[in-house]
Amino acid sequence: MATPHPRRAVKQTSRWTLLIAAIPAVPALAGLAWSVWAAGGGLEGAFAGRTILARVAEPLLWRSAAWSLTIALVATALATGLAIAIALGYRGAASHDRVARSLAALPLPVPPLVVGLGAVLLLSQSGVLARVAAAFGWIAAPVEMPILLHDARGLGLIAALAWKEVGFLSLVACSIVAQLDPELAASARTLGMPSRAVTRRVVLPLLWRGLAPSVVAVLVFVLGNYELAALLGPADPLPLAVSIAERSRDAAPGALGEAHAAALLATLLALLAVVVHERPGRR
Amino acid sequence: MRSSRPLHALVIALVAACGGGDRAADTPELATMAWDDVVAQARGTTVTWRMWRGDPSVNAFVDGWVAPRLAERYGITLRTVEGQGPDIVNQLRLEAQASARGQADLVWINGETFAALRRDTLLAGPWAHRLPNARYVDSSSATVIRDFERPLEGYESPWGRVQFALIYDTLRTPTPPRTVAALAEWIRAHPGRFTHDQGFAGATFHKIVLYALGGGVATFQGGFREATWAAHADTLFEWLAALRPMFWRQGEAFPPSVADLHRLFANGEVDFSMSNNQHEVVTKVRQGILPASARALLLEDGTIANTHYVGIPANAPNPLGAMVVADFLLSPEAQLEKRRPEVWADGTVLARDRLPPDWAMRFATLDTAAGALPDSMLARLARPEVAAEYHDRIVAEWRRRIRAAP
Repeated sequence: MATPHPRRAVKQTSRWTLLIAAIPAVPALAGLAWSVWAAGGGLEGAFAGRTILARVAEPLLWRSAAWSLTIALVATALATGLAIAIALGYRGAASHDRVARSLAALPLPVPPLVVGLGAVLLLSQSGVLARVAAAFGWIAAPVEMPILLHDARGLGLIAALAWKEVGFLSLVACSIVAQLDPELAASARTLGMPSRAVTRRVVLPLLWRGLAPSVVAVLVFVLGNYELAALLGPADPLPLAVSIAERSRDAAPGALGEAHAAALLATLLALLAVVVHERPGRR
Repeated sequence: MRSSRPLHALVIALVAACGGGDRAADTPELATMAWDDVVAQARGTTVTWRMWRGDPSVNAFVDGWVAPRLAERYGITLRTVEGQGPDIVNQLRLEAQASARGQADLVWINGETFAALRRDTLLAGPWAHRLPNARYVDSSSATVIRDFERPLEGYESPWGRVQFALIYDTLRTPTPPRTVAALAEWIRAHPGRFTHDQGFAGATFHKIVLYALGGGVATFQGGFREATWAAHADTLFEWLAALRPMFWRQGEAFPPSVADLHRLFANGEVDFSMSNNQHEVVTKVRQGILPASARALLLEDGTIANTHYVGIPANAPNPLGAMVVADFLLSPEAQLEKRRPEVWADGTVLARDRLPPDWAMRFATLDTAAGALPDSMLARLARPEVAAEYHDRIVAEWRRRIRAAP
């Protein structure tokens, strides 16, 4: 029986790999094509590139995008910082380290909708925190509780997003730290590097290199999250995901096209985050 | 333009593929087929009803009471799927462009949705006038026989009637304001204790204020007029802008939905909630969502009453089954059941004086819970909806002039 030439076998394998990789890409590209068509006026029967530009240039949309991007960056930075602190602070094999790592991952399976409803119960001015604070006399009445929900600063939303994502990021971070070669840190110490410097100069860069793709994924997820933004976000600026949903539910002619234009902008922002991460020359 | 054709064709092809790649079935002669034949042909079929699924009481009525009876009496399997307003319009527009067979047989619609669907000829009909139970419909009511001023012309069948009401707590606000002017004074005197939601109830509240400040509903009747809108829109938005600093959170935030407003009211953050259904307060009190001392309040300037309907999409795969379902929903039995406060408390579209005496008696002796508003008061203060364009303009302008204002 003839054996296939090794180079041909490799070619066939890479062709199959490409096909498998195309499976998730095809629906995304089809969706993108759909949005381009709809944003350009295709749904109204008059597609034109300038319609997309006009719709994307709408100032309120950019306000929403800028606000949502800021919130996503802050929430992701918070979650990343916490995840790194947990991974570095509890990297040992002792039982309390294992318990701490497990506790940090607890938010992971909680659905975003549940996180949002929980945040409303906890953080609103009639919520648990406000009532407890009033009961202890820290504030005169629950209504004096600082505003944390539906506020333009997005404090409650940032807290909820960071809490939700710290579970995922700490799981990844702990897993990366566990796989680091202990010889690297040992060698650095042997060469006279203090323990803190080993963490800062050896462990942290390696951890960041492994964690960065997950951080980008979290940023993109947080940017597009609808449930938490709808439950906890302000009315002005309207979070980008809520703005897209609102436009898509509007019966006014052209509103659905505007929703697709807004979705294109959201996609562009997400792609930008990926491109920055994957930029040429990055190590 | 030329370059967009391949993209257009691709999208249309995708929708056609999603719809089964089939052209819309020819709509049978819905207006002339003998009713017995309609029922016979509907037997053994499935009816997909695209409807709002946002209220557990409504879902329980449809899934737990309507569906089993349709299966038992007509051999129809009722399948409900989520979808409302613009979702329905957008879906049907897309399917029509692709000449695709529809995904739904029956749709729950009213107002601007009906106007958009009729404008784009996306509804089958006429058929509603020939349902056997249509003879009981209250055809003397302007709010039933016209949908946002648009004549039904047999393209939708009414199945429920509601009226807007404010909700207040008799313990917290023993003497509530009873006119729009008094409400403004109350809001000024109680900063932070009033707001409205960003959804349909909030827009209806705006429309009530528009009527009150604009000289009554008559000013806005007779179709949408740009000049009328221009003359009165400023009055409404200046009223709102002046009061906004006295709203909950100084008007910098508004509850996303009426459910969020109910929560703020129940938790004591605000002193008023609102609902498009005057009976909702009774149901919510029974469910323990609102305090027992919560009551509905109609403003003396008049509050908007409107009717909800079911329509059959022009590309519905099973229009005959949908007609049977629409007829059952219109039956005195179904109308009485959903009117019960413990079920849904949705108002009936039937005229009591047209019903057989035993059914009229059952409606008359229906258990009216404490706090339910008397029918005479509801009728006296009911104001009809005006052209759907007013609603659309209010929503768009409120977002621009109030919500997004610094």
